[in-house]
Amino acid sequence: MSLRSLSIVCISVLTALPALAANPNDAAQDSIRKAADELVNTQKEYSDLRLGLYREVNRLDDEALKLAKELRSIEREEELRTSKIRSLEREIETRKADFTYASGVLNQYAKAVVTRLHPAEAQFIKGDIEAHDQKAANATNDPRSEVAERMQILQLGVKRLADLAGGKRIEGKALGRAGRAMEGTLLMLGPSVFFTSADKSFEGIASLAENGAGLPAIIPIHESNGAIAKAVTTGEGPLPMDGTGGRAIEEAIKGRGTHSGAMEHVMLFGDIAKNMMFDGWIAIGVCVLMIAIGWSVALKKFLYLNSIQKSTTEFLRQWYRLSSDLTAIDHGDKGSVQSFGGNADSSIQKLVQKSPLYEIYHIGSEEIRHRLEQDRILKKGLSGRSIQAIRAALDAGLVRANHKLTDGLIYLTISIAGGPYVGLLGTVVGVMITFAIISKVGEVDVNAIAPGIASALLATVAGLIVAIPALFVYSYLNSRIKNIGGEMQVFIDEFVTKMAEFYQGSDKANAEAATANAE
Amino acid sequence: MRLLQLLPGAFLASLPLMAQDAPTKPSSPDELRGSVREWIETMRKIQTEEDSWEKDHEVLKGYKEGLEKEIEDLKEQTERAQTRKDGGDKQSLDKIAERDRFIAAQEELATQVRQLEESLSPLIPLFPEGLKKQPKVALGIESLQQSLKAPAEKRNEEVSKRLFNLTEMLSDVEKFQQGVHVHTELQKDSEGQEFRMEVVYFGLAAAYAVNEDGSFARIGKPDTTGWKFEDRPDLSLAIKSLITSTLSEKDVTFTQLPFLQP
Repeated sequence: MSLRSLSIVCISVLTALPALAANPNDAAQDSIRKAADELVNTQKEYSDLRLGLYREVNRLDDEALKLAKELRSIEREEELRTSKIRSLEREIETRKADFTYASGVLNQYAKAVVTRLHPAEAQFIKGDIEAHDQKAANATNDPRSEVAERMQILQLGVKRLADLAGGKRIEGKALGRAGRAMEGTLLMLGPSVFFTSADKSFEGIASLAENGAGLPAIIPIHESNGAIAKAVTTGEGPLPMDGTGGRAIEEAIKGRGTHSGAMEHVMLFGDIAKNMMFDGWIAIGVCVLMIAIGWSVALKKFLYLNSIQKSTTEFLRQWYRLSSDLTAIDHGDKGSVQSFGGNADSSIQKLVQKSPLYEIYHIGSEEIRHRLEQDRILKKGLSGRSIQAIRAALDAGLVRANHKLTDGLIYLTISIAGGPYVGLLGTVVGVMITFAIISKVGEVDVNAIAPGIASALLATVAGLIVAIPALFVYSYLNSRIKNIGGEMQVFIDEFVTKMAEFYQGSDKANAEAATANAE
Repeated sequence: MRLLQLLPGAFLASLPLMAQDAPTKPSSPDELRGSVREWIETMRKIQTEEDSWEKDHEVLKGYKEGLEKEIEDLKEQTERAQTRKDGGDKQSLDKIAERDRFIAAQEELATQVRQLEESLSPLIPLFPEGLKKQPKVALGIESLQQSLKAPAEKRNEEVSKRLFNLTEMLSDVEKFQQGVHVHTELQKDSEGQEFRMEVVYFGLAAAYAVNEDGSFARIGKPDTTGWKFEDRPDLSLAIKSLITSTLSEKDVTFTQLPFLQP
């Protein structure tokens, strides 16, 4: 039961109590009236409460609606903003691409124009170009300033061309004798730059080569005799024009304009050698040592072969004379044996004794003489076994003679095989060091690389200079030695054959001696 | 249940009836019954009203709470959206600033390219004919002339392309300036006869020309209206020698020739 019901009951009880004593009908009517009042009051009270709640709800609903509208509005604005930002981003991207392209073109020009400057010009314009370039590089957040700075470089380029057209005279500095910087006037005439010192005591033409000093190096021209100074000062007069793109100037620097092309190439080796590094010199030193040893061995062998060739010819002449009567050596007179039975005088003997054939002949004759001395009593001559033994002694002599002939040739073989490797080692180390130096310096410039590589290659050239002549000489000497070896082999065969032929008579005498003894 | 609630009311309403004094003014039972019924009906209405209120209260209370929650959510969303919007505003402003910087750069570029074209235009007569025929230079000159003729409203168009053509042309002219070049040209003598001449250009500084047999030689210098040549038949041998040394790899010599600065 609710509180309200309880209160109604209480009210009814309280109102009913007097009614016990009064008219019951009136009391009932009174209760009904009170209940009706209560109903009206309740309805009014609830209506008020309901109205209040409805109002509150309506207020909240309005507020929610307002907030929803506000949110939608903000979201729409946000979408619009996002869309606008995307659109802006696309526009920025396009503009940025255009700007980057233009900036790249300008930057490329700025870098290239510096490389195209003559050293004489660099002292006037290079600083300005680099300053604008630096400012442009620093203005990363201000594209307008970057463009303005880079365009200034382009304007400088145009101004420079306008100034240079027709030749330009300008006061400036240049390097004269012994690299001394001096004030004077420069005349820029296309790729050529002429200079005269302020006191006219020095004049010349500027080298195109970069010398690192930021000033042009002036090369004096001997035939000019003041003509350059006059033309530079007045802007009029004869000038030594170099149509060779700087080669004539380079020749003037070297002071050897009359050298032929071949001589020039040979002299280039001097320039290359100047840049040679320590490791290269070691390789070249080893190559020089190999050349010295190899060539001295070759010379010695050549002379030796010449001498034995001559002695062999003489020996064979004597031998053919003797071979018709090999008995010239059939006695114990050593001198007779050495003089081919008295056919050779002492000078010829000396000559002949140098021949390796003589050494073999000497071995053979010694063997024959030795065996015949033992056979003086029986006179049996040389048996087959003796001839075989002599042949073995002759073969041994052949081997020794061959050793003597080929002695020292190993140095030539080492030069042929080892020279290129030593040179290659020097080159590889030289190239390696050159690249290491370049990586430290951080500049990739052909002028920085080329001298080091050229010098490193000089070691390979040295190695080949060792090997190639050694190869030819070795082939030549080897061929001659083989010929001599062949002659010795033929001589041995001939010697043995004739020996067997001549000393067969001894066998017959032996047989006769044996028969006489038996009788 | 409701009827049970009505019972105390009905009992109390019947109390006056039970208390009536029989000998006093008599009341009709029907009247009393009607009164009780009316009283009960009234009490029922009160109860109905009370129940209705309870239900309505519950519903309205829930609705109110829902609205309050919705309002809270909306406020949060609005706050977040506002934050995003504020951030977007800043981003948008940054982007606009960035775009304006590029617009300013492009305007600066257009202005500068225009100035460059105007300063390059007077130099074109200084270019030798052979140089003018080189592809990049020819294209650059064409682009320059078209741009200079263009109406004012079109001067800011194709700036990058014009700039590229100009720098390419400048690069080629600079390369020409730093070299010695031999061109073959047809030139007229004072009597109007045309000769095929070998012309040696020392960049944009000076030129020396000679015909095939050396009977006609000239020296030239650049002028604002083009290259001006002066007859110098006495220099034919020297100019021939210069051409030989220029074209030959072996003949590395200087050639004495006169120079006259314009």
